[in-house]
Amino acid sequence: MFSARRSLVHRRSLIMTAAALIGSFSLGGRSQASVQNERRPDRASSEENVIRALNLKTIGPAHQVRSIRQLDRSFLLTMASGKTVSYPEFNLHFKTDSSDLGPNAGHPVLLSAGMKNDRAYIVFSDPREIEAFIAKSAQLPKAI
Amino acid sequence: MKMASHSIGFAGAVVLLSVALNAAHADGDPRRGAKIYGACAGCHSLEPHLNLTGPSLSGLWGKKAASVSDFPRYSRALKTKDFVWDENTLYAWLADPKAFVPGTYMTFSGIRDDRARSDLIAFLKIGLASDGAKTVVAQGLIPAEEARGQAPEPLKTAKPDGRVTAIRHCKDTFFVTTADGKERPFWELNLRLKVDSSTSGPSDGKPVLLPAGMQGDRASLVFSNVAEIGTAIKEQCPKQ
Repeated sequence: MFSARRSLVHRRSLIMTAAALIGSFSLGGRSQASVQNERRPDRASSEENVIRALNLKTIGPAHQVRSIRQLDRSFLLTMASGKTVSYPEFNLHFKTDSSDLGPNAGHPVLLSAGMKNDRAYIVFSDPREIEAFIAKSAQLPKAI
Repeated sequence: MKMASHSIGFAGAVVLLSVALNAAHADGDPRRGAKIYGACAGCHSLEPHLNLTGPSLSGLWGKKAASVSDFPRYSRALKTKDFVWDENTLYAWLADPKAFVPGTYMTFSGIRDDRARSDLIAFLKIGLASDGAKTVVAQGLIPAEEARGQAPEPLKTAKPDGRVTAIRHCKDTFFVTTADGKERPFWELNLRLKVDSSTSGPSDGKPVLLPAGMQGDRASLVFSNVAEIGTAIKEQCPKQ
């Protein structure tokens, strides 16, 4: 199955890889990140290169996720900046970065993943945080 | 009397404009339009009830804007507009969606070329009819997978090398075991964790592994719900 799907994946990957870096800097908050501690990627293109290029512990409030709620088949996110954004579940994925440059525990980070700003991913410091964070978000008042 | 003559004049102008626009669209070529439709398929499907980033386009021809009842992500701007999808509204919408409906969520910037727009509308007239997906595929205009747009593949019937039986996380690595007995390691930044709770998503408790890169070292793990991410992934390192 892996090899049979390779050609389709190949085509989509080329588009998505080109989109990754463009999109990641389009949330409008990257300039708010603490750039002093960021490393510049030598070959920034894919999501992992984007993550590696940033210090997710010091990234700006436009990227810091306060809560994640599920509504129908969408995720509604509230950011530390106060802004709320919504993604269909298939346009949002989760990742973990347990390295020193990964996010602080309990402070996931949102990065954009598409050319049109309609796809994104949330980086957690540990996979066990994902479900717990979303469950905790459901207990919060709706304004948060 | 003067009002009446103004009204008749305005109505006449609308009819003439409509006739002129219809004539302008009439020469659109659905085959050329099918090639342009690829830009729409990134966010829409032609299959009934298959909503993606945007709503399913199935059966929309002649229907009111923002009328797909099971699509929850319409902008307020589109919901408050009162028009139906036909040659004329699509002609204006596709030229510049944000100018036609200020505040729309659709991010597509538009097609300025009149000929290309007419071609796309000629295709959409077929594709947006009821059973449009079947028709455009049967006529060889687009392949079936394009009619589904970027819809996730049905995952309930994944093959053994995609059916996940165990996931463990150790330091910066996920180890994913599949029903074919193989365990694959993935650097954590190379593994996407996703949820697909739709009917095409995986069965409860049976996450699926999908390839996501050109070199076989990247993948997506798809779960049927968020809670499963917490229960399926075990923090476990092998004994040294």
